[in-house]
Formats: sequence, structure tokens, C-alpha cells
Amino acid sequence: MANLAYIVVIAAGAYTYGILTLGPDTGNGGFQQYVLGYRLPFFVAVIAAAVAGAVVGVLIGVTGLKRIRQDYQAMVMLVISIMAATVIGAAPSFLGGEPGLSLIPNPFANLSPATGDWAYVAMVAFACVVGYLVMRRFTSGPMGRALRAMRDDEHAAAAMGFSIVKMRLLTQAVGGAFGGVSGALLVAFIGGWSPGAWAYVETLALLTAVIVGGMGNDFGVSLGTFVIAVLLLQGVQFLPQIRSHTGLTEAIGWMTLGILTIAFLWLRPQGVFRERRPRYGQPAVGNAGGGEVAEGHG
Amino acid sequence: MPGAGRARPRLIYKEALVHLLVQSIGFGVAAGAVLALGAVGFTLQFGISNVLNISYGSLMSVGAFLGLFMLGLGLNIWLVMVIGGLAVGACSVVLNRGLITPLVRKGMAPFGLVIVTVSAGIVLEYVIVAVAGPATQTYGNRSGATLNFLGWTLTTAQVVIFAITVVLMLGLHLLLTRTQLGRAMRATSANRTLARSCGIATSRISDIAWFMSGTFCGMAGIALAITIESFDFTLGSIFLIPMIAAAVLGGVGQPYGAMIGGMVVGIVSSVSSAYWDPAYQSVVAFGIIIVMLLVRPRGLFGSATATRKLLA
Amino acid sequence: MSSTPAGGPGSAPVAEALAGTSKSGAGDGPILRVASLSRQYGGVRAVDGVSFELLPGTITGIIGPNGAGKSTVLTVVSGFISPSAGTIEFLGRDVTRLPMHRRAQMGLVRTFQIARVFEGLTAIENLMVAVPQQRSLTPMGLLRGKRYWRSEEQEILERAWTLMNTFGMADKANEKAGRLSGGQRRAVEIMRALMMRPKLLLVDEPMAGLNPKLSRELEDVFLSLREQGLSILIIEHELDTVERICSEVLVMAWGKVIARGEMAELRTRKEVQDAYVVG
Repeated sequence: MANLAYIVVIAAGAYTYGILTLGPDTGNGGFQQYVLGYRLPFFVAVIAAAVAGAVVGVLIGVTGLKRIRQDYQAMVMLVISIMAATVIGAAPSFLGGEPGLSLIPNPFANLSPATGDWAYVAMVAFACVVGYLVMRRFTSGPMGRALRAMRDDEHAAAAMGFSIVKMRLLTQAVGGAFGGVSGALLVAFIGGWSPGAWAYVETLALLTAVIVGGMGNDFGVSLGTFVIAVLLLQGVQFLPQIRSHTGLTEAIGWMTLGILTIAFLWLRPQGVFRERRPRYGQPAVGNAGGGEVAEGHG
Repeated sequence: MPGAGRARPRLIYKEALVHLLVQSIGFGVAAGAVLALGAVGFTLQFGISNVLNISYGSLMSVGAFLGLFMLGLGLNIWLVMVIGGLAVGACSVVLNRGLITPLVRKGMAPFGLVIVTVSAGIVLEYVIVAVAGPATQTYGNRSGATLNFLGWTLTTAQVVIFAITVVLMLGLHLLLTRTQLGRAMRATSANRTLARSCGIATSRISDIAWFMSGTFCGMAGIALAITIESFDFTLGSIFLIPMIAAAVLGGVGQPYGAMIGGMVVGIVSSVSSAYWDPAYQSVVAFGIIIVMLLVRPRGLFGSATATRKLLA
Repeated sequence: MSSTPAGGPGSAPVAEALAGTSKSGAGDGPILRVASLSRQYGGVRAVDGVSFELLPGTITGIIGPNGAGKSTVLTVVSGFISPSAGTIEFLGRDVTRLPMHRRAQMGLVRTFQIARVFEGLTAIENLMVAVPQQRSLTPMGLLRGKRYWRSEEQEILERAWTLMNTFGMADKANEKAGRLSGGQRRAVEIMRALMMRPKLLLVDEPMAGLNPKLSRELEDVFLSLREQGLSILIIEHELDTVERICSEVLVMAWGKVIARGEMAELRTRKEVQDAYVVG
């Protein structure tokens, strides 16, 4: 089941990265307030963001452990995601409140802007490759099989000796770590983070990517994310601006996103790329010690 | 006012604190009326069609903006509330007929339907932005004269909204208990398949439920826009949290539970924001949702039927 | 399931698939001991003070009219729901408070009244997933990758194929389970249970929806499993089936065990006939 509060995990990573690299809040003229305020090196902060993401992911996952209808759980997730933004926004001295954090240092600040941007692209590409390889460990092979079994029927999986609690929290933790890292990389680039940046609608963008790409297909999800992020959310900026309507282009982007999600769920719920299952051949005769023989006797 | 009166002489402030309590309960009742109106609509539709409609909040915003448009035409505010309600009711039926029912027939899982209603809600919200713009709007000051009653200081508008809510709730009660339609609705809510096999046209009952739900929703949206100073297109989605809290507290799918739940959530958040930072007002609602979910998912007044419906 | 005459050559592969099932899990004592088990739903006592014992290598049937509490007994024993009162001992250990997955790991395995398969997985994957403590699922397996679990995976695959062949489902092995027919799903579910090397199998109306030929074959499978030392607790409506495979039968009505013994003898008892007529 998709986590409709996933944006909270990303936010956790972003904030963690922010407060661990910004330095004390008396710096920069002391115009913003926040907790901690260390100047840790980039990689330490990213790892901390991954941990923060995993912890928040597990905390959110705990609410889903009760045997309750899926749609009911989904509603609670949405509520969590709206609430988290409200609470953080209302507490100015904790994580910067509604204005959020800004002037988060860029890890490539000592490079020239152009080189810095390319260094950032390279770093994100590297993170994607590592992330993809780690993800494969979970989505392919026996582990992927077990997780998909649990997705299909939790009760039957429990009847086969799988601890649902353990597996669910494991996936939440891993998913959370991924979200945390992506949040950290995001703020390292944009340099600021506030509750407005992670409204619950952002979760829909992630969800659309997954649904369009094909839920059970890693490649499909990656491609879907790329298409949604690049074409829709950035692409609308290139539409001719209509001056009298502020926010119209953004509105068109979100409307397209919503309609796309509904259209895919309606017409092609498996996404562009469907889930593929591995084929298993019969072991060689004799090796299995009887497979073929039994057939013969029938 | 965090920590008010802590380091000060207690006796003098005790009276002030009691006054504050009485006053905040008054505000809570007024807010609770709007909440109850919205929550009943939300829960009624869920109880009968068994679909959690997250776009409910956006429909509420649609109502508020329709109200704004009609006020611009110079209509009376209470007339606007009725027409706006009926218009949103019609939108709600269109949503059910055009989107939800076909997907349910296709056998879409409840979780998929939530994503669909979330998406539909976002589309609706940004339709508002595309038409009316993202700016903050206001109905102007519609509160009318101030009334003093039982130590409460309330505006005329708050009292009228409370009265409207009471009348609608009484009407709903009579409809559910005294009419053939109401019996059919309750039967459908309890067991859809059985109701259908008893000759009840459940899809028509469903349409009626969506219409009533939408009407309540639109009226609540306009009522909310009257009582708060300004709003934008996110009005309804923010208000959705206390409404869900009210519905969950009373037991999702239980109209009477939602009425009481709305009042309780309204009063509790109002009182808590009087003594605590008002910015955390919705945290109370959130706390109610989480605690109820973990401790008693069927709600305070939920029946065994409600339990069966909610457990996976 | 086209190839498994009881005790005949077909039982050899089943034996192999079950290899590792010890005949004497708890010495000569009962494998399962249920004492004054009760379960209430609201105010209704679905199960009311039920006690029984199962010996290793036996097939025990539960019969009774609808609503007698048969399925509830099975569900409570499997750990899917907890009892209101009473104790359950498995292999000499009190498992009353143990969650379902822990009981399953001990060898107490159930199937469902309506066969539940993992629809997104292929038939053979359904079998392969049913080994919960495989190395590939441990933190070590995730860290070290394929080298760490390849040989075990190969062995699991071979066992799965053996079962597939035994049940005559080899041609469906790579088909998604969601596309299988009712009887094939039933077969997948039972094979999946066997992959776990159970010591006690709880089956709820396994013959429902199967044609007579298939259900006779399934009976033979159960008998050959019993030969391997497996115990089976089975709920079944078809009394002839019960008579053919069960050594002992519990008759339930109104949440209580009203009679027990051999089927042939039970048929003549008046209280059993009454329960069926009234129920």
C-alpha cells in the first residue's frame, strides 16, 4: 500500500539536513530560529537525514498496524501529512515555523555556479544509481517475492509464518531512509525549506509518478517520476504566461496531474509498464530426484 | 496565552479564567455547529455508499466560492447559503455518477478510490484557482449585531448558523426515522446487498445520499466563510481535519455520532486554544483522530456493524 | 492432482517435499491439546468450552451444522483470532498467546475456507515464498546478496517443482495465481502449506468446489501425508469423505462438542442426527 504521508518523510530528511548544516541560529544575523544548528560535513548530514527519514517512516507506519480498512488508513495518512506541516508551521522556534529555513549552504558553494550545478547533477545521478541498486535488493529475488506476497494478502502471509509487523516496519524504514536522502539532496540544491514546500498535494505528484509508471515495476516508476517532474511540474512554466491570472499555470499543472492519476487508475491501473514476474524452469531430471518420475507414474 | 496566570496572584485570575472558559465554550458551540453540519454530510455519504470521499473538503471550498460569486450578484446571504448548498449537492451527485460509481462497478479497491477522490479534490481546488485566482477572499463583515446570552458573547450570524444546523439535524432525524426513504437509507447503510435483495434501489439511495451530503457540505462551506474573516481555495481541505475528527469520534457512518462529535471537537478545540497556543488548535482534532484510531476505531457510538465495516 | 494414489509411488515425492518433518515432534504425547476453549463475538458464544487432543500422524475431522463454531475453532487454534478463554498447547508448549506467524513457524499451518493465493505472484512463486525463515530474508541475506542464499534458493525451487509435479500443475507453474481456477488455487494453497514442512495442518473445507474426481485425489494426498507422520485437522461437510480419511471425528453444535468417535459409529447416534436436523 502506498504511503500517503510520504512527503512527511522527505520533509524530515530536508529539515534534518538543514539544521545539521546551517550552523547556529545566531549566525546570518540571527533572523531565523531553529534547534540544533551544527555545521556538519555534507555526507554526515545526508546519513543523518536518512536515519531521520527511517525513524519518521516507522512512526508513521505504526499507525497503519491496526487491522483497519485500507481507505480508512489512507485517510489517516493524509491527515498526518497535513498535520505535520501545520504543526511545524506553528512552531517558529523549532524548525523555522511558517517561513521555514533558508540559506542552507550548498555543498558545492566553493565551486563556480556552473560547475557547482553539474557537480550537483552528478551527485544526484550517483545517488540514484546507488539507490536503484539498494532498491533491487528489496524488490527482486526472494525478498521482493515476500514483500509482494504480503502486499497481495497480509493474512495469508502471516499464516505462512511472516511477521507482518516486522516486514511492514522494515519497508517503512527503508522507504523512509530513501525519502530522507532525497529530501536532503533537494534542500542542498534549493537552499531553503518551509511547510509550503511539502503540502499534501506534493504526495499526489509522487503517487502519480508511481501509478503512471506502473506500481510493480522499478523501471516504470523511475521513468514515471522523471516524466512527472520534468514535463508537468517544470514544463508548465514554459506555457505562455497569462498575466491577468496569477497561479494559472501552476493550477494547470496540478489539474493535469489529478486528471492523469484518475485516467490511469480508470483505464490502465497497472501503469505503462506492468509488473513482471520471473519464470522458473524445471530443474534437470535426476537433480530434483523425482519430479519427472512422479509425472511418469501418473 | 501559554502559561497565563502561572506566576501571578491566583485569586484574581481565577475569575478571569472561568470567564474565559465560559466564553470559549460559547465559541466552541458556534464552531461546533458548522463542524457538525460538515461532519454529518461526510459521514452520511460514507455510511451509505461506503466510499471515503476526500474531495469533500474541496467541494466545501467550491461552495464558499459559489457563495462569494452570488454575494457579488447582491443576493441575501441566507438565500446564498441555500442555493450554494443545493448547487454543491448537484456537483456531488455528478462526482458520484460520473466517477465513483463507474469505478466501483469496475471493482476498484477502496484504497484506489481514496486516491481517486484525493485527485478529484485537487482538480476541484485548482479549478477554483483557475477561475477565481489563488488570492485570499472575504465575504466582508456579515456577523451582524452582537448578542449576550448565558454569559456568552456571540454574533447574530453565529446564532443563525447554529439555528440552521439544529433545524437541519432535526429534519435529518425525522427523515431517517419517520419516512420510507429514511428507512431505506438506514437499511442500505447497514447492509447494502441485503437492502438490494429486499427491493431497495440502492444506487438511487446512494445518489440521494451524495446529494444530501453535498448540500450539507456546500452549506457548511458558506457558513464557515461567513464566520471566518478570510479564506482561499484551501479552506475546505484544512477544515477537513476537524470534520474527519468529528466523524471518527462519533463513529464513521453514524450521523448522530457526527452531530455529537462535531460539537465535542468544536468545544474542545475552542477551549484548548483559549488556554494554549491557538496555532495548535487543529492538533487537538488530530490527536482525537489518532487516539480513536488506535483505541476504538469504530468511534464512541459505533455499532457492531460499524466495526465490521472498518476492520480489514 | 492427477497422479497421487495413496501409499503408491506418488507418495514418494510428497515425502520428499516434506523431508524434515519429524514424526515425533513431541515424543508420543499429543501434538495439539486444546482445553476448554471459548470464543465470544459480542454476546454470542461461537465456541463454548471445547476440549480435544490430536495425536501425531492422525487425521481428525470436525463436522456439524452451519454456525456450530467449527471454523472459529480452527481460526483460534491457528492464532488468527485469540480465544476468550481456554488454552492451546502445540508440541507440548503453550501457544495460546503466540501470534499466528510464530505458530506457523513452529509447524502449525492453516489454509483458508476460501483459498487465498498471492494473486500477483506466479503459482510456483506462491510456493517458494512459503519458507519464512529463508536466508535471503535475513539482514545478512540482504547485505551479502545472492551468493549467500543461492544454494538454499535452489533447494526451495526444487522442492516447489516436486510438489508442482506431484499435483499435476507443472504446466501452470509460471502462470500468475490470480488467473488460476478455483480448484487450482486450492491446490496451490495446499502445496504452499506443505512447503512449510508443517507438523499439523488445519484445513477448512478443502473439498468445497472441487469435482468428485479431484476431491478423491485430494483425499489420497491427505492419506499419504498422514503416512509421513503429518497430523491433519479438517473441517468437512461431506460425511463420506470424513468416514474415509478421519480416524476420529468431533461433532460440534451450538459451539460445543456434542459427540466424538469414529464416523461409522457416530452416524447411528441420535444426538448427532438431531443436531443436523435442528441445525
